[in-house]
Amino acid sequence: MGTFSTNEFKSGLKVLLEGDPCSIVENEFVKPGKGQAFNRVRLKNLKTGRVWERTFKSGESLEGADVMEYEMEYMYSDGEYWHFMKTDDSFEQIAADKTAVADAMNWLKENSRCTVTLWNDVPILVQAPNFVDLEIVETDPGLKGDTATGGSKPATLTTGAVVKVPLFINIGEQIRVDTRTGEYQGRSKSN
Amino acid sequence: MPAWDVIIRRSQILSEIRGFFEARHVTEVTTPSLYSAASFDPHLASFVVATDQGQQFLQTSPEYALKRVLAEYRQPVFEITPAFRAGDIGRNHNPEFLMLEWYRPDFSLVDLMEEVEQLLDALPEPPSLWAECRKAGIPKVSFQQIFIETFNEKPDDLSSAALWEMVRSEDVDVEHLVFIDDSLFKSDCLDFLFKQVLEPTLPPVYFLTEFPLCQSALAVIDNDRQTASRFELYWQGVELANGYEELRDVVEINHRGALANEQRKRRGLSHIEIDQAFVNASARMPACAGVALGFDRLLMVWLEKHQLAEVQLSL
Repeated sequence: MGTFSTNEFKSGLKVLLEGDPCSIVENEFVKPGKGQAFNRVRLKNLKTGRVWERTFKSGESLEGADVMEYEMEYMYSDGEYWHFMKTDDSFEQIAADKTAVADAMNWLKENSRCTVTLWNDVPILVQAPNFVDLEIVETDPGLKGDTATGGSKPATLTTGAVVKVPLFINIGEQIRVDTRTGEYQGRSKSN
Repeated sequence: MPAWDVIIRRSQILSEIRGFFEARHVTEVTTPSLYSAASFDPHLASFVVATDQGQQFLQTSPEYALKRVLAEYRQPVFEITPAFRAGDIGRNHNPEFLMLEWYRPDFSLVDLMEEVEQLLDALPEPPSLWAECRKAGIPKVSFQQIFIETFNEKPDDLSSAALWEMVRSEDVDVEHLVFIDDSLFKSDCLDFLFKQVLEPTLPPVYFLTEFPLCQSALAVIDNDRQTASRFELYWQGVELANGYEELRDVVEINHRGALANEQRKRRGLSHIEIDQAFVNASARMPACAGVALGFDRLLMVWLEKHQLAEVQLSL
């Protein structure tokens, strides 16, 4: 994997910091006058999802992290693991645990194309596609013609996620959700 | 790539600069960028070039070469030339940049600061910040004085340990600083304290003067004031220029070079041979004040841009 020095730090570079795989978010070179140069670096911990900021002496290096991201299709869950298959015709499957799936659990639907991050070949993070179409299984009935009020009500989706929807949306309808914000985007195109 | 109008303005400003110096009988010279010696400053890294004459170095500034020119001709000279600093890359740094450097025999530091101000004043289409500044003139801030006013101690009186405590008490990430009991570490701590505590209280454009002795570089020491005769020009936190009353004492120059090599060794850096041609030239050149100005940075602030990449052709 090799090591990377501060002047090689670029957004997206995967490195090991204090044992955790991290992705570099931003790298700022600072040199006061003729003084000691340093880099102010923002990194995202790929295991915990937290972003932290740290300074490094210019020229200091970090070990690269064996982190790979793959597009994978969600197949099913056995309750303990969530199973995905690579979309590159290799038919390779991996099993991600609850910690890795995390938030994505709200949006997983059979055949969803997700981004799975592997560290040393172990899945550590699953990211659902930015938008997903899911069916509503539970919500209060909407009154006919209730398009003008602009109010909202909670609706439960097949995954168990609860999303705020307009009053005129009913059970059985498919809606599009932005998985990054959990917000209703509209009715699914092919309804 | 920068917008075409930036390229045009760069060209116009360079033209103005040349006109400015011509009117004052300061002659433009061109010195080699490839030189047999590297800078011994522990915070600078020179690019090494393999040549038929053996190992040579791309210059971090034309200082050594220009001082040899001064010793030979004893005339005021300026140079606009690429300077090279390995590893320096960021918003305000590029390993290759354009340096404007000039030397004025018989000028005091105050004379030279005045000339820097006059140079800026001669540039076309100034930004609004300049109009505000030139009304009252660029203020001069004594590092010695504001440090004493804020911390009740003279910067050079503080030990490495004491400075390190002060740095750590600022409760800001300083993981890039490693404690070493020497004057270079003290200098790094003072830089940090300046940036963190003192600079936020200062106006947007100012000359910083009266540097601590541990930051003398190649400047003369003012024995009465016990400070280094240096100035730096800052513009919204960006260092634009660095000027000295130039050191001409051979013993002192060699002493500072030896000290720098000790500091380099402690930090795992290579030993740098002190260029004796430069040292001898320093002894023979007239008493003078000199200043190095980062032209790309000047252009960046003059055109109200925010990073060098907006004003430099990077191919």
